[in-house]
Amino acid sequence: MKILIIEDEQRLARLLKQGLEEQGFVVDLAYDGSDGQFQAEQYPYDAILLDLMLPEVDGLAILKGLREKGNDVPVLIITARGDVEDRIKGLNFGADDYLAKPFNLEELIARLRALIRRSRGKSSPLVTVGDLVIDSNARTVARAGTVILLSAREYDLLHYLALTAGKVVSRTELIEHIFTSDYEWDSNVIEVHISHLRTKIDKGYSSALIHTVRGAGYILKAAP
Amino acid sequence: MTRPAPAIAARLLIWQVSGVTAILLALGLFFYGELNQIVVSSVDRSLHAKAQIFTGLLHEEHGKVELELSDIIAGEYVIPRSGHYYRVMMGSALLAASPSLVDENFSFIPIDASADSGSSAEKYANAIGPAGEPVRVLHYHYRAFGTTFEITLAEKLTEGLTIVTTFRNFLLIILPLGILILSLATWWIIRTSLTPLAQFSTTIETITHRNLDERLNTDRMARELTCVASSFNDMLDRLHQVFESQKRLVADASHELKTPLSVITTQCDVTLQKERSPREYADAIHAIRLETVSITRLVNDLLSLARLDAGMVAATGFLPVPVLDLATHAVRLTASLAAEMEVRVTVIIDKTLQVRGVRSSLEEALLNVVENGIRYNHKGGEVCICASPRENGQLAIEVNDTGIGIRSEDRENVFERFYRAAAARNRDGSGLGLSIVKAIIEGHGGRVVLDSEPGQGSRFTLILPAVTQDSRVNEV
Repeated sequence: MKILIIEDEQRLARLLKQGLEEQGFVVDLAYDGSDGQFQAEQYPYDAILLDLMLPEVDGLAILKGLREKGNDVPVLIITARGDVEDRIKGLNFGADDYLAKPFNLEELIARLRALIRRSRGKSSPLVTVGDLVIDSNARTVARAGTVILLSAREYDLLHYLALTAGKVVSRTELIEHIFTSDYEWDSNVIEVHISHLRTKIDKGYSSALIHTVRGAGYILKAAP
Repeated sequence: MTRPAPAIAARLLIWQVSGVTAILLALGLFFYGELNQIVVSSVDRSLHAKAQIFTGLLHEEHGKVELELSDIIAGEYVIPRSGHYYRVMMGSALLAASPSLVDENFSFIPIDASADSGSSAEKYANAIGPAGEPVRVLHYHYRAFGTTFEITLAEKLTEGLTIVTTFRNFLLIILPLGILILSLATWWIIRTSLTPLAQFSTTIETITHRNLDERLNTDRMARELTCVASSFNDMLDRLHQVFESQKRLVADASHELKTPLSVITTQCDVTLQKERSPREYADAIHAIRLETVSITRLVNDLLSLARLDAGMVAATGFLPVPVLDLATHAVRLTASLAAEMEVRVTVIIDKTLQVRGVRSSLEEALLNVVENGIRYNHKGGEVCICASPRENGQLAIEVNDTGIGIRSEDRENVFERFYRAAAARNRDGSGLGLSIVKAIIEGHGGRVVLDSEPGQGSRFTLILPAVTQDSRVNEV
């Protein structure tokens, strides 16, 4: 899950990045409004953490710009201004949630996960594809009741495929969602991770869940 | 009326009612007396005229004095107890008496002796007549034919008194009624003119810190009240302004406090997220320590500002302070920062120069300016503190730096609370330093001048009242 943090207080931004990364998120940082606006419009994030009081471009202006361009990325506002009016204003501008500083990191992460789930049309933290169950809170995977241990990258990849289960996902899309934007990638990295995943998920089971769609990408789906 | 009457209304009413009552009562009594007088005097005149006629009717015939009654007046006197009486005594003998008297020796009993009036020859009195009616009696002494006649004439007062009584009864009804109607009218007028005052007070009651922008509507108020209402509105304007700026300050302060607090909270949350090495724990504690330093600094600055706002820099506590001492203090306290930033601080100040003020405040002001010069400087930069006397008994302390400078669009705002130019963001500092400097210097009757060239550096000039040679002699 890739998150963009737009926060001008650099110490807080870096701490958030560390905290989120340790929970398995992939995090991009923007320290001012214009940089944040550029990144938010440029890359497909799973969610954006947005501070309101930003130099150059105000947080609400970024939010408004995104929504006007039809970008539905979940936005969670974090700000020191916690008045009811501010919250209402933020939500009316198209924010999905609102947290006042100082906040509890666990709560922030829980809300972030909920936002991402809902934006994918799922309410439960358990994502099920056939007999595969992914617990997105505990970051654990089990198939037919057997727990499967995955590396962080493999989990991210599988989780993303599971969230978009039934749809074909391109390699670029996968990369954009599981690596930071400044990551210098080569397309092989996805193939390597997919092959590891196949070994762990599909090998030894009667039906395969991960399928390659030639020239398009990958799809996770249970056998009909 | 459930609410107690306003004091003004009650007082007005009491004064008005008692005044009107007194005037009406006096007038009533006066006219009552006058009317009485008119009735009595008209009877008296008629009695007098009749007495004159009676004297004319006395005549001597054959050595015998007789009263020859004319027909014109005889009629009234022949009917018994008709209210018209006469008796003429010649010496002590009865000469004639009207048949109306019935008893010719009837004595008119005076009602009040004091009411007797007239000369000794002509005496008037109120008395009770034969029919028990009130009468006016004239005792008239007349000398003729070598003897003395005493003519007693009486006329009933009944008709006249009836008019007087009617008038009195009229007064007894019309006076209380008039007073009552007038009181009600007064009450109504008072209530009507005081109603805007009640609305006024209702509006005032609803005004709290949440709706300070509400104003009294002066459109339909009496002129006296418009005046009060508009001064009240002006006061609300001023309060609203102060309140808004205080609210902004509090909002800014809470924002500034929440930032380091959220860094601390997040630092703790991240650190506790999983097991870490002792090195990582130490780093986290160190980072938290740094944040508490910035919170402490912010709180101290806020307290300084609050003290300055409360006007705690008072001219009464002003003493001469050597400028060199202020500069030395600033240099000493910024030594470690200067070393860290690799900025050289030089002081060029004549040790005889002195300013007048509160030492600790002035130290804080200069320290803030010098610290700014160091903090927003380049590595290897310089800060120079110098002082020189100015005209008008003033003295200028200049702090020149070779720092990043301040853009012209920021120059207006750097003295505002929590304003930080874009270039100063994410550098340490509370955002209050320069507003504290401004408040302190202005509290000393001075001013702060800023010249700056972006990229070249800034010059802050603190202009303060100096201690001149003459006044220093006076101090000693």
